[in-house]
This record gives sequence, C-alpha cells and structure tokens, in this order.
Amino acid sequence: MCRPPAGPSAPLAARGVGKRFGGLAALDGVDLDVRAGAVVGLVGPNGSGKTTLLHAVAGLLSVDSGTILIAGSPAGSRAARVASALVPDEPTGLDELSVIELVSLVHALWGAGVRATARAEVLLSAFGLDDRRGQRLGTLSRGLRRQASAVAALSLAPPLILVDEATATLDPEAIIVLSEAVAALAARGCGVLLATQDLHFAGAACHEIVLLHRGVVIDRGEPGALRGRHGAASLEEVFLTALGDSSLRERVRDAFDAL
Amino acid sequence: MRSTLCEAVARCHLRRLRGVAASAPLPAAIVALVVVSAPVILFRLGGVVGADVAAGGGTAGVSEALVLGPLLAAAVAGAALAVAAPARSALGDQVAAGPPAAAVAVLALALVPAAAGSIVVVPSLFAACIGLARALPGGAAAGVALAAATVAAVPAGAVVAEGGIGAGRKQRRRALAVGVGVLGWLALGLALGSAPLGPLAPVAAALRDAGSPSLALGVSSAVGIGLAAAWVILAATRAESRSPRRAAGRVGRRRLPAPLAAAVLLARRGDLRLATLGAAVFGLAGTALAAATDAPPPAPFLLGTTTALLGSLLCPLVVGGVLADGRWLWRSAPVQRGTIARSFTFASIVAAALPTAFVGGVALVVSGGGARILGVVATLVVVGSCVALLAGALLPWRGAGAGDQMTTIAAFAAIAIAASFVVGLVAPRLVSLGVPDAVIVVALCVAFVATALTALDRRLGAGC
Repeated sequence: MCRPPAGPSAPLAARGVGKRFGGLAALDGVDLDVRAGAVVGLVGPNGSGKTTLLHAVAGLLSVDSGTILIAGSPAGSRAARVASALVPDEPTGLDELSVIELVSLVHALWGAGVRATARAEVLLSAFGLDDRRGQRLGTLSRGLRRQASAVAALSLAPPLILVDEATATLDPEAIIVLSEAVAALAARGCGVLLATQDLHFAGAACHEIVLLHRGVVIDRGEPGALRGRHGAASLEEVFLTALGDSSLRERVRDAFDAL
Repeated sequence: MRSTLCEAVARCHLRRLRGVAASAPLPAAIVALVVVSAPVILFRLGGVVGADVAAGGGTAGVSEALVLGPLLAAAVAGAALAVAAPARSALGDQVAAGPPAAAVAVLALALVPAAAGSIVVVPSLFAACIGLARALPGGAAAGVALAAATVAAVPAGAVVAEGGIGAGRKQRRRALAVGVGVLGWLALGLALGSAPLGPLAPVAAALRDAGSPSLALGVSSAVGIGLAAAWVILAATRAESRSPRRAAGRVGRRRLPAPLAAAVLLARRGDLRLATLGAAVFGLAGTALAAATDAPPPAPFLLGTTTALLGSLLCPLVVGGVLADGRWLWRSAPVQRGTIARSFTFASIVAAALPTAFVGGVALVVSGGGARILGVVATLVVVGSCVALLAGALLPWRGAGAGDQMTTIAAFAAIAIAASFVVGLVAPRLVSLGVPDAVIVVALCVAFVATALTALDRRLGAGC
C-alpha cells in the first residue's frame, strides 16, 4: 500500500495466501512483504490469522493457495527454513534440555557459525539469563522459556526473523531487550515479522503495521500514517475503528449491567 | 557444545527416566531388576511351552501358529506405535521450523526412542523364542529367526497403520500402495506355503526343521529393515491431519460431569479413535486366521480378544498425559479428592473394553467359548488397563513432550513384564492355599485399580 512489492529475494514475499481449517477461512488472499531491515508488525484480534500466517511462513503449515517466498525460496523448503528463525508463542517440546543446550541445538540444526555463538552470549547476558543457562527449560516460567527461545532464534540473525506474540508473558525489562534486539538485527539487514497484541510495542518497534481481521488484511502502513489516516490519537483507536467497533467500550459496559 | 536432534531427544528421554527413577527409587529398582532378570525367566518359560507343543512341533499347523501369534501381537504394537508416533510439531515450533528433513524428525522422535525402548522387550523376546524353539525340531537357531520375524512384524503393522492414516487424510495413493503391499505379502506367503506369514513363512518351516534357520533369519532381518525404511518414508510424508469439525455450542443448563468430560476428551482424540479401530480390525483378523487354521476353541477367541486389547490399551496409556496437561483445571476444581482420577480410570477402562468386547462377541459366534475364558479376558482388560494407567501416570504422554509416547510405551512394557511376574509368583501360591479362583481374580483387579488410582492421584498432586 505504501511501497512497491518487494523483490523475489526479499526476506519475505507472500502473495494471495489462503488457508482454511474446515469451513473456516483462517487466511484469505493475504499479500505481505518484509524487506531487509524492516520490522513488520501483524496486529489483529484473537483468531484473526496472525499465528496461522507466521506458521505458514515458518513452514509449519501448508497453505491452500498463494505463494510464500523466503529469501527467494518457497516456505517449507530447506533453504527457506535455513533463512528464517521463529520465536514461538508456546516454547514447548524439549523440556528436559537446559537453556544453553537449546541454544546449542538450534545453532547445530541451522549450521550457525561462531558469530552466532558470540551473539548468543550477548543476548543471554542482555536477557539476564546468564545464571540460568544450565537450568532445564521445563523448570522455567513461560516468560523465561520465551526469552531462551528468543536468544536461540535471534542469535542466528537469519534473513527473516519471526516472532509470535512478541511481548506475551515477558516482563517490562525483557520487552525492552527484545525491542532493542529486534531493532539492532533489523539495522544489520534482517527482516522481522512479529505478531503482537501490544499496540504500544507495535507502534514503537515496527516500521510497518499490518492489520489482520478474519484472515484478511484490512489496513496497513507506518504507525504514524495509520493514525493520520484514521484520524486517531492512538493505535488502539486505529484498531477499533478499522474493525468497525469504535463504540466497543460503551457497548460492553451496557451489556455488563447484567453482571 | 553442539548436539544433533537425535542426541537432544535421546537426552530428554534419559533425563525423564532419571527423574522418574529419582522420585520413586524402589519401584524403579524393582522394575529394573525384573527387566534384567526377565530374559532368564522367559527363556525357561519358553522351554516349558516348547515342551508342551513339542509333540506337534513337526506339523505345519502348529509351527505356523507359533509364528502367527507373536507376529500378530507385534504388528498390533507396531500399528499402535505408528498411530502414536509424534508429529514434527512435538519438537516445539521453534525447532520444528528448522532445516532438518522430515525423515530426520521421524528418526529423532520415533525410531531412536523406540529402538532405545526396545532394550526392555527385545532381550526377553529373544530369550523366550530361543527357549521355545530349543524344544522343537528346528532348535535354538530357528528361535532366533522367530524372534527376528517378530521384530520385523512391528514395522509391518506400522506400515499398515500408515495406510489407514493415509486413507483418513485423503492420501488415496498411499492407502492403495499399502493395500497392494498387503496383497503382495499374502501372495508371497501363499507361494511359500503360508499366506498370513507372507515372506516370513520360512520361519515356520525352520521351526519344524523343514527349512534353513539361517535363511529364515536373513529373510526376517531383510524384511524388518525394508519395512522400517518404508515406514520412515511414509511417516515423513504424512499429510497434515484434517481439521476437526467445528461444534457450535453455548453455555446452557446442561452440565458436563467429570466422567463424561473424561470420555469426551478421550473420544475426540484422532490417535485413539484410529488405534481403537485398528485394534478391532487386527483382532478380527486374528480371530479369522485362527478359525481358518481350524484351531480349537477358545484359541480364536483368545487370539482375537488379546490382539484387540493390546491395541486398545493406548487409551488408558494417554490418561496420565491428559491429566498432566489439564492439571491447571483438575487441581483447582473444588471436587472431592480422587473424583477426577476415578472418572478417567473408569472412562479409559470402558474405552479399552469396547473393541475387545466387539471382537470377543464375533469370536464367540464364530468359534464359541466358555464363561471361564470370558472371565480371563475381562480380568486382562482391567489389569492391562491399570498397568497402562500406571505407566502413563509415571511417565505421562504429554501433549507437548518430544517423543513422550515412546518412553511411556517402554514404561508400559517394563511394568507389564514386572506385573506378570508378580502375579505369576503370587497367584499359584494363593491357589495352593485353597483360595477360590474368583476371589483371587477380584482381589487382583481391586489391587491393580487401587494402584492405578493412587498413581493418577499423585500425578495430579492431590495425593502428595
């Protein structure tokens, strides 16, 4: 909407992406670009398709229609997987590994070099995980596990970084560290696609915001431009206006009289 | 420090086992002792069975039946393993999105843990088979071939299950290919003298000293390796599971009591539905094969029901994990202590009993059977379900655990061996003291149910 489409070797170029779960269209004709050095925020209500889109880009889900290219390779291919890394919303699966073992495993799987190890050390220190590097993932709180998986993914510095529910369960300090880490990686040329419900974080961290609703992109643009276009003082207002629900607060207040 | 995916998953399994052993050292030591001593005892037991059947060991019918029974059980176990095999997503979204090929993920999540878990079963299997065959014309070498053939039947069952999974996920070509493979198996078996045994027919010939044990061993090993490779390829190329139908619902006056909620949670799992269906199909096949060989009653009934039971025990096996995953709700609910554990125990035993009862009903019509044998199978259902519940409570089959399934199944095998030894030691002594059979059976069931309930309650934290 605000820029011409990205080239085929951009970190992410998605065209006409569609995905159905039974009778439900989770994604419907989504176009999305993430350029090198850009931080793009996916914003939308619960169930709007943010995680589905991220999982499709990460190769965890196949799509029913459309194409997704990651650094020029189709999503799900080995080349695309090497070129991207995901910080998941639910960092589960290998509970018995320690923080440092998870980082080592991810580095080994991605074939990362010594620079990734150096980056991991910096990130571990920044997130305050130095003292927990030998602690089992299963014994950590969800927020700390997410920080550990963020260290593993961000230290790879691949062409495309995917962050699901970016700020969920993170404490304010960790949110600041994540925000700065994302900005630093974008400055060195990584593209970042993050999904979040935290509109304040999205406004501060993202160069572009894509608003998803029921699997469809209903608006997109730079945070300032979005606010201007909707005549809104905040992204929350933009969000509610774009969803056609600007009177939500009043409406539920009336309904809650029944409580 | 670097680690590969297989190493990482293996490390997770070892740490889980170490954690369980540390939290319950005495039961763990008993199970370990039983598993270590099982090969010796089973070798002697195999010898006793072998001596019993030695008279007819030279006939084709007996030698084929001696191969078919273990093969069918192993195929059911293989089918259950395939149905239970964790998807790539069990690695967690972050690692699942990584570069390793799908086959590597299958190896790491299923085959490596299964191979490690087989340490519990395989030595006992070989010991029992060698002990059995020593008393037969083929000798110990034929016993090794029999054990190898039984191991080879595990991937055979897994491949058949992949065909079923493919049919369920609209991968018709894969289902067709598996169907053609099954027909090829039967045709090859027919040419070699025993249709159900397929390419493993030389094992039956070796048992009655009508063929070379070396050839039988070679064929069994080759078939096993080939089928294992085929299964890895099929598992790595499975289609995504289909989305469940959306159920429209609203808060109403109807309540969902705990036993019903337990039944609903179990019934809505695709892996359990498939395992239950597979158990019934394999059970019916066992009944049909036994009836076709003119085996006298209650052989068709026993072969069919025990085969069906083995497959349907997946249901109680997952209960510990279901409870662990929903602990936030079960523990905080203001219900009487033990209610949740009782609800799941009841629901899972009923679920395990259904396919067994169905197959048993058919088998009774086909070949007949008495009240006594019905009691034996009913006891097996209760005791087997409780052993599965206990294994699942000790090593829960978590929704988000990488390869949990395999360690849980290995724990089931270990506890089942230990339980059968305990029953084998205690029950004959009670009989010799004059205690009626019915009393022993009821006491046995009560003891196993109480143990399972206590373990599940502890899993929930209510009993700690």
